[in-house]
Formats: sequence, C-alpha cells, structure tokens
Amino acid sequence: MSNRFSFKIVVAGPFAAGKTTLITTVSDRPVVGTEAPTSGHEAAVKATTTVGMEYGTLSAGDDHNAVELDLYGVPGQERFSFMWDIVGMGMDGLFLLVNGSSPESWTESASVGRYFKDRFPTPVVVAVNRATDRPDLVDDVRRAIPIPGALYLGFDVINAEATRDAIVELLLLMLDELPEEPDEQLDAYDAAIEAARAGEPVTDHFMAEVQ
Amino acid sequence: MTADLHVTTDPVAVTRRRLEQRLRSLAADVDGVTGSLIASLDGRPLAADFPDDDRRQAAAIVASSVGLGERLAELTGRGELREIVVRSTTGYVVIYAMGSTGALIVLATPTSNLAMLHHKVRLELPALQEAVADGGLVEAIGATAP
Repeated sequence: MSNRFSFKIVVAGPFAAGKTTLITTVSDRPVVGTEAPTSGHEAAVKATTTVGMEYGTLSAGDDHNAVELDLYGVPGQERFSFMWDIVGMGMDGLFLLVNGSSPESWTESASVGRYFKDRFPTPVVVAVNRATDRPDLVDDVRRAIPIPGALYLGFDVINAEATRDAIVELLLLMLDELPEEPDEQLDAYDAAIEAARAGEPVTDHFMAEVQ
Repeated sequence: MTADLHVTTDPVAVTRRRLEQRLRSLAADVDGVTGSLIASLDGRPLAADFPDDDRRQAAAIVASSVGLGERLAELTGRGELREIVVRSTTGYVVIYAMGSTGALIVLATPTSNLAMLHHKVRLELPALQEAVADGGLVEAIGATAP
C-alpha cells in the first residue's frame, strides 16, 4: 500500500524578500533557477534576480509513504506577474515571504498576497524573514498584511531548520484542506511531518512509524 | 516624440535612437517583420520598434523566456541559448539571445521568410550587442524609458 502526498507550494513576495535563498536552503535537490543580472536601482540592492521561476523539492518518506513538496519560486517584481499566473496554476499553498527588515516593502507584499489569494484560494503562511525572535515584528506584519485565515510566523531563511519548520506549518494547513483522511493516512502524515521537520533521510524512522 | 528634441545630447538617448533606427531598417529589409524590441536580461525594454503599451510586458516575458530557455538548453546538454522560435497561428515571435546585454525579439507574419530573418539578424546581432553595451543602456535603466 502506497501513500504519496504531493503538494505544490508557491513561494512569493516582492523583490529581495529572500525567496531564492529560501528554496536553496531547504531543497533536497539542486535548485533549477533563472537568475539574471539586475539593472538600474535594483542593481544597488543585489546583483541578480529571478526572471522565470525556481524549482526545488522537499521530500520525506520512502517509496511507499512519502510527502513530496514541490517548491516553486516566482519573480518578485510586478512586471513578472504573468509568471505568477503561470506558476500559480494547480498550487496547493502559498508561502508569502515578507522582508522583516524592510517595512517599506510591506505594501507590495500585501498586494502580492492579494494577487494570489484572489486567483488561487489556497492556505497561506505569511512568513516574516529576518524576524527570528521578533514577535513584535510579526504582529506589525499581521496588521500591515491582513490575509484572512493566514498563519503568521517569524524566522530567517538562512536557518534551514527554522525554514523547514515554517514550510511544515504550511503543510499542516494544506493537509487540513484535504477532504477525507483515513486513519492510516493520518499516521503516515504524522510520520512524514515529523520527518520533514527533522529534515533528515527518514526511511527507517518513517517506516517504523507507519508499520 | 517631442521628448527626443530635449534629449538628443544625452548619449544614452542617442544610442537608443541609433538602435531603434537599426531595428526599423531590419523591418524594412525583411518582408513580414512587424516589430522588434531589445530587452535587458532582467526584463526591461532597452530599445524598441514596438507598440508602446506592450513594451514593458513584452520585455519581462522575453527575460523569463530566455531564463527558462537557458535552463532547458543546459539541462539537455545543449550549451548556450541562441534563439527561441515561437510559431503561432498568426505569426512568429523569434527571440535572439544577446549574451549579457539582453535579448532581441522580432515579430513576423506567418508568411515571412524565417531563414532570411535568421540570416539578417545573426549578422546584425554583434553590432546591436556592442551598441547596447557601449551605450550604457542597461546602466541607465530607470533614468529614462524608451
């Protein structure tokens, strides 16, 4: 009996929020990316930017029981919103990445969040980057970017463990959306969630939980 | 149009106008070419013989296409991206990679001679590339728009 749960997560947020770093930090395979050199005033902020999309995966489990998260990063700038439409098709969850150290970018974060929410009504995690141990900052973001039903949290994308935890929070929300959950599937979920949280190769651990 | 009168001494504007002249002569040289645009790799219009309203969006789509095309070429062991040909029911859109300076797209009608277009553009490309690089068009992005 094989249980394979696959979810498509879109990582969105304005220019320089940290989307590429996030996917690179947690992906368990080399990230397929489309970085191009920046120009104009954006070049002063950073040297490259995503122009197409990024693709990485975060998997837990084995051939029989697995959770597979497909992580899609989209470009941040509004001129690339056509990529949001393309990549958003079939998405199961939105990971809205907010730059905690740049409150001036939050208006744009809110409009990116709205863009997705209007077109793709999926569970949302609003994750505040550069906000480790800053509940005050997360509260500020909650007020500035109100998205009904969204879960707000603070972390830092350079911390792989915290980043995996944040993605697991979105996984939990997505699982809540599933219609029927037989008991054995719930066990498999639990094991897979633990494994994803641990961020380790999980075959033995995982099978022990499921059998 | 009238803005040109005020910016003729601006070297960036001069370069852009020369580029746009080259783009227009491309359209004159090859039957069926209806427009062209040079975009930076991060999706901004640098020079255009192209409808005003569509420039910004076209430049962004070109950048995404080039980014994805490069990855596809790399993944399949095809080396560096040179061209992407989009053939649709009512015409062609051809994207020509211009290295680190960006990319050129050319719109053509379905009956245009694609081989002739490739021939002309490939000959012209090094000069366009050099003009964009030497003219500082990428660096000037944000200051003025084509």
